[in-house]
Amino acid sequence: MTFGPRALSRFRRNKGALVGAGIVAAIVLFAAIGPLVARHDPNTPDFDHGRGAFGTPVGPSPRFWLGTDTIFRDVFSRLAHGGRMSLEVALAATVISMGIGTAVGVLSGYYKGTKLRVDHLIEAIALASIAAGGALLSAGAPVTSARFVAFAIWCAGAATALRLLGRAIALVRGRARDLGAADVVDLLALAAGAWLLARRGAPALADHRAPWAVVGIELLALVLRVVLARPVAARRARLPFARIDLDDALMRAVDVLLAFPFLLLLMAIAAAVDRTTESTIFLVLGLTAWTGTARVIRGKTLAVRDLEYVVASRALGQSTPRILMRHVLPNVAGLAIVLATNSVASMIVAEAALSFLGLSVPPPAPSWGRMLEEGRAYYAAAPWLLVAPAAVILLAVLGFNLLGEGLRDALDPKDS
Amino acid sequence: MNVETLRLLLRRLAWSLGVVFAVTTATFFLNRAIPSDPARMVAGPQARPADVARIREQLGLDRPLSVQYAIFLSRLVHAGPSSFDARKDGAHATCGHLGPLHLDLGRSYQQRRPVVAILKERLPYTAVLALAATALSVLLGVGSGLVAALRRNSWIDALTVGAALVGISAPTFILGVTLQFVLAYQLGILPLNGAGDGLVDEARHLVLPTLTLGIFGAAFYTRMARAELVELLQQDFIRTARAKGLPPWRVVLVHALRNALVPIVTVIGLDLGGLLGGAVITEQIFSWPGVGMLAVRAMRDRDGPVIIGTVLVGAVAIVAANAVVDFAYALLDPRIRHH
Repeated sequence: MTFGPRALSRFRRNKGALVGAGIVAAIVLFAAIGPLVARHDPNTPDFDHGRGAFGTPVGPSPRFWLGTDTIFRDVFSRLAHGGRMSLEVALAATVISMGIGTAVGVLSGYYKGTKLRVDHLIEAIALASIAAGGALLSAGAPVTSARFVAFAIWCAGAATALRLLGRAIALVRGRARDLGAADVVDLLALAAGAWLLARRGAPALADHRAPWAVVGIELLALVLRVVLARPVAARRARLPFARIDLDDALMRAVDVLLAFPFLLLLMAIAAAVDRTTESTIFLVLGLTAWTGTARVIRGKTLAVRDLEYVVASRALGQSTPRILMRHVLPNVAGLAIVLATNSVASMIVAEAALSFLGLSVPPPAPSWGRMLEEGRAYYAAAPWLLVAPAAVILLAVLGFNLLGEGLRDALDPKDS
Repeated sequence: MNVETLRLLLRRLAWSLGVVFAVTTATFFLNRAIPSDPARMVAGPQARPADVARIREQLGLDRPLSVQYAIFLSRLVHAGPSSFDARKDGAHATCGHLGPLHLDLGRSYQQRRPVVAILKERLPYTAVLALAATALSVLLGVGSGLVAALRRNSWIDALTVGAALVGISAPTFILGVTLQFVLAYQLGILPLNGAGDGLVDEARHLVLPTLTLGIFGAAFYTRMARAELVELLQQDFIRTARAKGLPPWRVVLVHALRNALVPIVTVIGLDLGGLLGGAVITEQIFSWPGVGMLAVRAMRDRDGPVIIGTVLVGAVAIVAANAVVDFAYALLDPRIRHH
């Protein structure tokens, strides 16, 4: 995959790609400008003009460009506002899922065969869980976020215990001189955690007020350990630690996530946070949809990793972050752009599906999927209620798919 | 089958069980994160607080979460008598069983019936729909992909490619609602929704959901089959086969198609696995009483045991499909078989 003038000219010669780009531009414009030019509020019924002779909605007219819905709200205005929501959600979710997917894919592919310490892995899970807790807290779910934090504490404790077990084994084998200040930190952190646990009891950890003190201690321990462990890293390598292949670990996590029925997971999380907002939807979509991306990017990274110049720069002693940034990322970037474009299409579908099932943002806020669902019952009497949302969803998805197709052909001329 | 294959098989099986276990565990805790009061749900809105508390105790919901989880796991799969009467045998009142192996997912809060029994009722509907839709999409998709690849750059090819692109861009809820409108409402040749009574009626009710899922899948397989075949038909071994004077149908069907099927089979397996877990939206549109519809209702009602049951069905379906795909792969691709 290559960028540059040749890719651009290939893109320009591709009729499908241009049509796709045109549709995407039109949809984006509609979502951006539509709410400004709409002459009615999307959520306010107009009983004077929007109501037909028999209390039926009115069809498309100069006043209501796309007619009114069953409670006499302007369909055009609702479609435009819904489009804004739909695109915002789709773009934000794509950014999240591409970010995670690319990171996981690149790391997984690049570090295939590298053994990683299990306690570090558990600690990473703990940090991710704290981050998830924070995200949920801001999304308005204090109780659920407290559970995430409690889980993080158990993880951090388990990691510390696992590490201390390794040290204990070293001690028994008479290698006490391999131990250092970091172990003291570990011991203190575990003792502090145990003390808090004994004082407040296990249920207190599930309570969302108590555990922040423990999080603080564990985080402090983590920082101290990193700072203190650096100078003794070489000696440390001889200590017995449980290890696992990073690629194995990540791909198995992907396996588990893939086996989770996607919509069910979405519905459960959407139900778990008390109040469904736009940010809940894109977080849920973004955090669950990265698995496919990760697999594809991993495959590409595996191929790139063994390219001669990458091997050469590794042999020349270039640092790993530098190799990843200079050689690996540019090579997977084209693929990632194509995947991202297609991802926007599937995120629009996912959001519409969620609102079709009544699980997206609550009414009266307009959304394409719910408009379709609502219009379904009236398709004989008021077909525009069904046709309008169906048409925009279809167009938007088709546009992004065409654009993705065009980008694929332009960036990867092999297939075309 | 040699020892090495057997070991691989066992590892694969262990890993599959591990995935199902992880998914089940995650669902169990996810469920408890959903704010709801099952005891109140069971007791009804007008129950006295004392009754609600009693029911909460009966359901074991007053115990620590870890204890609830341990009880759930020990009930989930356990040993029991090979034949028993669920109505009389209190210890196994909510069990389903396969010989002496019992499966117990508890009782639905909403329907007050064993979850296993409910799933048993729903599964055939989902399975029939999944198989019918997959058959349709594979036949239609691979068929039109083949035609398009053979007539590359002709108007047929352009038409197929265009139709397939529109097809993958039309989400099932749009396609389903459209088909329902045209075929059932306007033309009235097929029933609007529901499952029907008797074989012929049921088959008639099956048509629309099958078409909805089938066409969407077919669009996907068309693109895949075309892309694979276009590349394969340019390969040297195809030219050699042609040069040997093999009949053209043999070259295409045996030499090219067989190779093209290898990657397609993977996707078919994964799709089928997903569908066997319940086609949520399609079942919803056509009120097809499968696992997917059950899942949506359970989610809306916050009916914990049923949610876990439906997720478990989905996870098992996907994991099993994955495993089957791996073996189908070995059958289709001799390179894998011999390694």
